[in-house]
Amino acid sequence: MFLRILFKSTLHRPASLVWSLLTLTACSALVALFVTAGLGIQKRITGEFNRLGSNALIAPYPPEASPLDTAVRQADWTALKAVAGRFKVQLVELRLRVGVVEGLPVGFVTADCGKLAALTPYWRINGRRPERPGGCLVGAQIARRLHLETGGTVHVSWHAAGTPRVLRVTGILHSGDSDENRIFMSAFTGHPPSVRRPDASPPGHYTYGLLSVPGGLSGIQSFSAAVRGQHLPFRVDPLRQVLYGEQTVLEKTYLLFTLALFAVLALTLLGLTAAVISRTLERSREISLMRAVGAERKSVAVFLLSEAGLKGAGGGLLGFVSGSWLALLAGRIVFHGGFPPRFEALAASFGLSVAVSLFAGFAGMRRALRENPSVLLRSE
Amino acid sequence: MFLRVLWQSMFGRKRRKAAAVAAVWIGVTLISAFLCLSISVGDQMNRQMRSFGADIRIEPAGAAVPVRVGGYQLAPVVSQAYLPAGDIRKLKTGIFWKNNILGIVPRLETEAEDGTRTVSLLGVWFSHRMKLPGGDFETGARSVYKDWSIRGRWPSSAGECLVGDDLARSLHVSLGDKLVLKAGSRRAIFRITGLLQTGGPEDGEVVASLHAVQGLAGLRGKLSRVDISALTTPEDDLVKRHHETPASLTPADYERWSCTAYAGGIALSAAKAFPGSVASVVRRVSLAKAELLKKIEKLMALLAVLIAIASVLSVAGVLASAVLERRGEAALLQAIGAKRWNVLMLFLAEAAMIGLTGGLLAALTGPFLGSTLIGAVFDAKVPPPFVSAAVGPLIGVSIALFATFRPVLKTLSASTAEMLHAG
Repeated sequence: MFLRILFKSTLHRPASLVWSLLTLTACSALVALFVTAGLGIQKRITGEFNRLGSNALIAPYPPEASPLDTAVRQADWTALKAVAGRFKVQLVELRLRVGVVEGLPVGFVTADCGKLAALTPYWRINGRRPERPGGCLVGAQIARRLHLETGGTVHVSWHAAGTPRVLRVTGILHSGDSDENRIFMSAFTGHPPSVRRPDASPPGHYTYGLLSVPGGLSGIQSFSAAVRGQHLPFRVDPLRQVLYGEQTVLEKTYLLFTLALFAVLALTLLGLTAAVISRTLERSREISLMRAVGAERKSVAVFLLSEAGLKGAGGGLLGFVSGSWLALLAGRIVFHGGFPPRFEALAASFGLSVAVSLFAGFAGMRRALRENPSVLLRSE
Repeated sequence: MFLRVLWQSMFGRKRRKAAAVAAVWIGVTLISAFLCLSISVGDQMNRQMRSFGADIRIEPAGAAVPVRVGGYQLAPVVSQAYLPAGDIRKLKTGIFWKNNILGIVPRLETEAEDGTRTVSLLGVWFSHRMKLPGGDFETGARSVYKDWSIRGRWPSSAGECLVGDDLARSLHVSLGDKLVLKAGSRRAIFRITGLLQTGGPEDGEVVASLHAVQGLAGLRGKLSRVDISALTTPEDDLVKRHHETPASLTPADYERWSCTAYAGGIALSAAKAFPGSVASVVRRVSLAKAELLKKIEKLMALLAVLIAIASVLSVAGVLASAVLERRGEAALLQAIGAKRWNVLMLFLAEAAMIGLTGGLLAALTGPFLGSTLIGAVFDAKVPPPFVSAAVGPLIGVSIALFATFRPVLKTLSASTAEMLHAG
């Protein structure tokens, strides 16, 4: 009986119902959007940063040892790659050896050029990366110092054993960091086949790696802990500068989301309370009649609050659906993928919508119960 | 007659009218405050990007090319060149982009002996006040290297230093210990106030005040490098074209390139402060800043639009309720001979007055709320942006008319007799 009256009453004035639902839906859609985006934005921004290249450096680091120690040369890169695979970490090995060009000691780095390109998209290259054996990419600082240009040649002799080589400069790289002090060669040009071993640095070589670890700083910390857990003699150094900046910007974004959320809630309360009070006034006589035929004040209050709660629940569900869709859309517009729907967003949008609606309903209920039924009915 | 009816209607039901004006006022205040926020979010976020630290480096053109990896020097440095420290001031007084320079850290890298072994020594400004014609400029490592993680505290005098975590482990020193460093016949004693983690070469260095390091190394007035944190504009296609095919730039393009605060342009300008130097953009930082800024600006624009929609819906709800309450009055006007057009005009004029009053009030309060929000989010003092005040009344009137038009039309299309009976 109560439920039938409740449904009939709620659906009685469709225009008013639609308006209330629209306001509540808009509010809870924004709540769902903020919660969904807030929970997913860190992953998205971290993903964007990963697209910009490596976020950590890994190097052999046995305690109390110099880099050219046997322990460093025998660092187990195969075991490290297995750990990296588990954490979906992109890893590129860089094998550095010291060469001499025009009397100047220079670091020559050999790497898989495809993998290196994926982790250094931020390099600006005048020319191109080396694609064939015999080509090299020269850091801008070395190019300035040795007056090298794209298309020119580099004559190199090695500090340790090795045949002197002539390399063709395929490009000059600008990075603004220590990579500008190095010359990069394709993996097939740096070492003769006899010393091209996958797991160990040949004599005179120092192997280190660039990493792109998913999950930002916390992801790097977990990966580093796993490497330590396997007793691997490596040290992971996060590139703190970018990670710290990312964290600061995220904090400001969360703060903006929170402010916006409060603004939306305040506005919804304002609009909805006015609408509910107005509707209650319209229904003064109906409420008076209910009380005249025996309904207690408590029953009327429960009835009005149930009606408000029902609208709140409807608005909350519709809001969650539209908010999740908006979050998907916003993610696709702003980032390279939408924010997937979250259960937390459903709870927040549904809960807040019901709460706001009940608050407005409470204001209307107090107003309705203040009126004297006999006076209102007599004016009929 | 119309004006008299309008005037009397405006001042009847004062509480109801005040509530409607208040709704418009609050709604438009929030809209214009968020408008201020979304307009300035790009600039403010860009300033927040200072947390990314230095994005431009200036080095001597003939600087050494150290072969260093993982904190280890793999080959001896062949020759060393320096920048003159006296030219730092020019970065804030003598270059075109001086106002975009937000932070400067001059650095001197050298070596010293600690008893039995050689340690790398880095001299920087920790916190330095530069007296400039337009006011003091506070800068140094504390404000630029915000990513440095310090266990302990920053040094506050020339006799104090930070020690990189790796170096501290290998030297077996800790907070509060003293380091005696020698360079030739010179000697200095530093007390360790903090252990430093940067993920960079500083983890293996002693970091002390620039003045102390210059004195110890006998390199007064000399610098190895200057790090700059600058307010920059994200790179776009014009920058790519400038790098790849400069000849393809038209004079207008070139003018736009040189008048936009691109990191590359600022770097070129900064290098002019130090003769014989080259400036390079730290591309990883510069690109990360640019990408993030683009995303955040898009996100905030979307946020502002959604909040505006929510505000319009809420304020419209209040005003529409007010109209619906007065259906009886509208019916009575029609019953005594007023035409539908007249009633519509009366209600719309009244709504416009309410919207204008609320909008004008919001024009006064919106910019202040906007300025307060910007201050709260970005820790920045921003004068109230009164540009948004100009649109306040317009938004107020538009929302009021939008909210009133449909309910009034609906009321007028209903039967007058039924309305009067119900009212």
